[in-house]
Amino acid sequence: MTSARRPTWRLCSAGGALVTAWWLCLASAMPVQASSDAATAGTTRVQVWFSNDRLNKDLMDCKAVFPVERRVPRTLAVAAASLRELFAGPTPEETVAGYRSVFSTTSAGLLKSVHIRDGTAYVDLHDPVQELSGATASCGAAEFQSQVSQTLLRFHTISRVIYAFEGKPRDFYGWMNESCGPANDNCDPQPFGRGH
Amino acid sequence: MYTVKVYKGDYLDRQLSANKDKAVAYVEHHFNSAGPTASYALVIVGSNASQTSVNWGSWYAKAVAEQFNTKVYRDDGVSRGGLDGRGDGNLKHTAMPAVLLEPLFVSNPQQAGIVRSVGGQQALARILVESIRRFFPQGGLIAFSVGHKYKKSRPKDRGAELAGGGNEADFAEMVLKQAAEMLVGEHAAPQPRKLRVMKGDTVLLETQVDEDAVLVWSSDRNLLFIPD
Repeated sequence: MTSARRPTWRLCSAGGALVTAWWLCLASAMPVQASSDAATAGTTRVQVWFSNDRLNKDLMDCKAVFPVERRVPRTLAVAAASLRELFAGPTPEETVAGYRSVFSTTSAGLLKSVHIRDGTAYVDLHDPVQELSGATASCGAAEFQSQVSQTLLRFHTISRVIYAFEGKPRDFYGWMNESCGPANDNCDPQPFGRGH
Repeated sequence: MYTVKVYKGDYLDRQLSANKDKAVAYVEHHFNSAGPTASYALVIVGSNASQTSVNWGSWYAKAVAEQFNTKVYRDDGVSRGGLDGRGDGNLKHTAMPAVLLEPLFVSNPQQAGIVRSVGGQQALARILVESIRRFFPQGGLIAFSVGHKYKKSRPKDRGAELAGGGNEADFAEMVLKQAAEMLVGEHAAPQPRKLRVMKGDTVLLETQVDEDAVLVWSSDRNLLFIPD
């Protein structure tokens, strides 16, 4: 675990023009921890969460994940930047430290888009098929969703996550062996449509 | 007397077809995947599962754990309704007892080796067959479903990759094929109770014992006592 300081967060206003609300929320979700040293100037600190069997006290708990810190070029789209870091998988150094994931360099381009509306992060992914084969096993699926959820739920504007492949939630949840229901808005594709 | 049918298509279609055929039991075979050290036997039953499904799944998970010297998931090896609901939809539409098997982790190199070996596949098939004979002694149609494979919605899905090569679905199918051969090919009539001594996958001794005999193992004497 590399994060030593607790970041502070800007508040996200619920008001504002609808067209830009999600973008503002996305921007305001970013940690405002200022970088004082020159080496980190112009960067944003993000956390991504991976599994780690050395840190996990209950190896049957597939949802146990642990944070690592990354620095990315300063951006307002912090949620997207965080997911891109997550989907690139652990670094070699993190792997040595026991962090692991279904994500790796081969899945680095997995994110198609993410937008936030009314507390829900809509994560649209490119259809991975081959790259994430272990992610649909009972334990692997729990790891997948826990790593993404924990990475996003750090942003106070996000309280839940809904996924899609290429704009189609039904494809994602079918791949995950999960039913469409209230928890995923019955796989409604509308929020993933054009305009986001 | 048993018959076996492998159901294909999307999971809902498989279940509805098995219902229509009046199968007496439904088995969907997967393997689990996580890290390289993950090691426990898990059976998922539907959120609406009968006690027969729970007992059957628990018996199977414990038998796998004993055979391969691993643990069972939580207390009894059974997850009701799946982990966060995953797997529930694969079973909850069945009208008969149904289990989704996750006996070993293919991400664990040692367990992947078992899955890849003929002896390991035979042992898994044998445990499944014994569980079916135990919980459905009257015989009937047993519905088999290969996890991930043969889905219309994602025809290329094969589940997790095995550590060292291969994929989950192909090996699950091999186990089910062997189990089907055992179920259909071996003694149609109910079998007497037998005691077996095994070394690895090899049966060293097999002898009939009374149905109500209480076998007593003496660790001090390394003796298994069978009453007259």
